[in-house]
Amino acid sequence: MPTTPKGLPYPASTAPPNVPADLQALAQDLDFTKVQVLTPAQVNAASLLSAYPLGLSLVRLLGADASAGGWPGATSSMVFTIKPHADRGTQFVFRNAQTLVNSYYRQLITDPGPHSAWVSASAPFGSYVGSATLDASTNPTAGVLITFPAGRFTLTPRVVLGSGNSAWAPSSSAVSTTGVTILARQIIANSTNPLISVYAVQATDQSITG
Amino acid sequence: MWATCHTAGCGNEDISLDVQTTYIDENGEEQQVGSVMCGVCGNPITDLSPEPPSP
Repeated sequence: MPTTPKGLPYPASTAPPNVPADLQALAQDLDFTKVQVLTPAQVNAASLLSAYPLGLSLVRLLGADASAGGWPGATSSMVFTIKPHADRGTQFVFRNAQTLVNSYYRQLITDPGPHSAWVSASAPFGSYVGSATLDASTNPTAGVLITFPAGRFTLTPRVVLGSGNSAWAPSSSAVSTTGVTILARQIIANSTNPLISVYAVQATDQSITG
Repeated sequence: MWATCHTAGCGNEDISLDVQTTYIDENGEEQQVGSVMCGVCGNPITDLSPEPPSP
């Protein structure tokens, strides 16, 4: 494929020969030497898709700019937009307030919107909701039901377990809005009762909360 | 099954939760949990009732 020399330190694209020409062109457009810097007016335009150039662009929003554009939170942020096609794209927002650093993304679907809802890309993997020391006298251990804080979850959460003893591999079962049953299987000879901690996060298509 | 923690000062004190006290083990068989622990205070819950609390 023909390649165009790029500015250092980025090497030229090396797409295999069977990649279609339009995809090769896209790879060229996505090269970091072609990042385009936009203005808040462009990124806040009603016609988002037509206002954006193909490829990768970024803009810095101050608080007032963010407030004007319906962004996830009226705080200063950086917006990265990847537009691989004339009528679609993806935006990533990195908020950078002093005590708040997180990120969101959304899909640009139609022009003008609506676009997809903002989705948090920096949600915690879960908040601590309980722990129990399991009885190592059997392998696997007997299941122990741990109740969640009342009212914490309205949807069945995702559960992540942490084991205080690497000889035991924890697992969960029967997760509900009110609790989870945990147990563990011994993977290395060890008779110490394992302390298992439970973390849980509740997710919908639009939000994730610990 | 309704589980109620009665530990004084616990965030779940005297709150009855509708919990599932059975689970499926690695062999696909249903098992009864060995114990129930309050995730808030960490104490065992012994008040287990098949009936919901009276209003």
